[in-house]
Amino acid sequence: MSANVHQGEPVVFIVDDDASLRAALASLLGSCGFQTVACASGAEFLASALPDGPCCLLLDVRLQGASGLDFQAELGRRRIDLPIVFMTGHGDIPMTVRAMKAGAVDFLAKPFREQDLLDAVAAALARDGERRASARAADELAARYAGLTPREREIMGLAASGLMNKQIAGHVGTSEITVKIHRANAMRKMQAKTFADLVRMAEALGLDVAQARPGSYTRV
Amino acid sequence: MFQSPGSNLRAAGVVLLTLAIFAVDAFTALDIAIAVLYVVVVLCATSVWSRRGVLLTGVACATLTVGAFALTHHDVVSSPMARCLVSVAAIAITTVLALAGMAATDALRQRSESLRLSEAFLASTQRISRTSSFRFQAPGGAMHWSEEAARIYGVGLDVTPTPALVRERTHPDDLALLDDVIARADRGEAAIELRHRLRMPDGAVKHVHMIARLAADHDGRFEYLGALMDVSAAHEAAETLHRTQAQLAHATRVTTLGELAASIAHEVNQPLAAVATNGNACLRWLNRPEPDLLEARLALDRILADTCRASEVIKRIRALARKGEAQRLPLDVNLLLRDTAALVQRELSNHRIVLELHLAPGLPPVEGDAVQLQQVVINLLMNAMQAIDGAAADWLRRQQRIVLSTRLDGGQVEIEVADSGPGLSELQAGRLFEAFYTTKADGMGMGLAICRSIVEAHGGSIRAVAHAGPGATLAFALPCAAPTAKDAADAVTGAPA
Repeated sequence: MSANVHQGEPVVFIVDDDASLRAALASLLGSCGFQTVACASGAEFLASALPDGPCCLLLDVRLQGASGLDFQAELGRRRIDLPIVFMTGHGDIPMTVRAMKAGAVDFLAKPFREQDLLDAVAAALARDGERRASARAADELAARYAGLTPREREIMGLAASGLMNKQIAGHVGTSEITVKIHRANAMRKMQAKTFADLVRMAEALGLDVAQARPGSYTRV
Repeated sequence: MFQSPGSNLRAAGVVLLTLAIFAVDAFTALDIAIAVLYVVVVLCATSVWSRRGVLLTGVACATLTVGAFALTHHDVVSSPMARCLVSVAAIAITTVLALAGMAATDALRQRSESLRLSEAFLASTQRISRTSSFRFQAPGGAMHWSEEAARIYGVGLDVTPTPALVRERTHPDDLALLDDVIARADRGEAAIELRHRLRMPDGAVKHVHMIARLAADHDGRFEYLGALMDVSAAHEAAETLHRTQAQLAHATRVTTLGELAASIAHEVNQPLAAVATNGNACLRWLNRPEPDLLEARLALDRILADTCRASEVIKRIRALARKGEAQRLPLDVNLLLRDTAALVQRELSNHRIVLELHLAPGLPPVEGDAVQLQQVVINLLMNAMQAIDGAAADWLRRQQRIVLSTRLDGGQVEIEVADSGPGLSELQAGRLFEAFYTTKADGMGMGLAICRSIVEAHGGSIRAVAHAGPGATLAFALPCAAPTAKDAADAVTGAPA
């Protein structure tokens, strides 16, 4: 793992046991402005730290010792979620099918056209970028939610389930005005501009909205 | 004995002579021992009748002598009586001597007859076995040879062999061999041997084998006796066998290549992919607003290296698919094994098998055909691979290994292929190298049989090694090449091979 990987920038990991092809891929991707990390084996990849930014894996289906498919399975066991673009040679159709079934983003038959390679890598990086953005948003939301008091959380959940302030007050055994204050606090802390935002956030956080309010009308 | 027309005439002459002597003896009064002339009759009889006839003639002559005496003389003690006795004695002695002479002649005739028979016998045997005998003197080369030798050399039976004739018939490429043998004979070596070719005036080539031994040494003049065999037929048969074996080996080699096709395609594809990718990268580095010449140059360097690599792979495959005469060249076994390992590495790794090379350094060269020996090694490796595969078809089984090792064992280089497969039973180990014997469901049983024929053609041996623990080990040994002067010098200085 090279030290000169800029944090946050996209990184393409190349895992191929062929040193020459590895260097060629690194050079081509480098000429297009991608950062690359070249590894000779799956083990070498696992030993390197994953960067913070979006990344993807360019993986040879046939590796010395363990095959690319084994490595894909190993990543799954380790819960390393990384878009994989497989590179295949002649007569590897069964392996390619297995790879795609196991969740590979794309595959390239060697020797590949450069545009196909660049497109596949760009698509894989975009997918990882999206995945990372949504993961980051979820993290932020959870952090904000963690900043609420227990009472605010309770009232946020009940409000998101569609109960009127009066109903909530009755439900939790307090005055309507207190409910209003907690509700306003929750919206401010959660950075929800509208009530609809708050409802979406509650859903994204997985609050059990429906259970709090035995179904009366359709949610937004 | 002999019933020729002349013998009847002679018999009549003998009878007439006998009657004439009897008439003179009995009816004239000559006072001499006429009867002694019967001796002539007996002697003549030897050339007319057999021994029995001569004996009868002798008895008849003696009887006639006594009869003539009885007719003309009556007194017992007298000089005619004495003459009669002298005559009878002379006839008896002549008869005995004539009979003895005839017996000796018969024996001689019989001996010469049997000699003639044995000569004819020898000549026909020589002809059938295409083996001739000869005698020659060295130095000088005065020669004598049997009829078959003349036939082998393609000259008339009456032609006297000379060293010039022998030279003229010897194949031009083998003259040096002939000269060497002549030089050895001139030194009086006890035994000389030569396998060489003759070229007939019509261009036909004969393969002959000559063996000669020193028979006598007359103060520096050596006399050799020897045999010369026409081994063309045997040579031809060996050549045909060799060609057939080579064809079979080639066929199986191509089959093996077919089995390796996917791996080989990958081996070729890999550098091609690298070349294409490097080419694209190079263009992109050059097409930048500020061209990056260093990166472009690096990409070009890699392109060149990959081109070499692709052509190396193709060269190896072409060599293996080559259909040509087997060669005998000094080979570095370790280098050969590394090349071979490169060909099958990919296939083995696809089967999750790790190939380990344990090569003893500094092995002496062996003499042989690189392609054929490579074939043996590939066959053994593929065999080991299939043995492992058969044991565990499971895709995710633990890693298996094959160890390919070399070592020097006396005057031989031993090459061993050990696998971690299920191993062999003793029965299997014993029959492994037989043609059409296979332990595989879809095997032909030719691979290892061909390995054996190749190894044996190289003067080596192949075997399955029994050992404790799992896995099978197949090993073959090849004799080291005869050391050249240079090798000997290397050995003295301890320089690595």
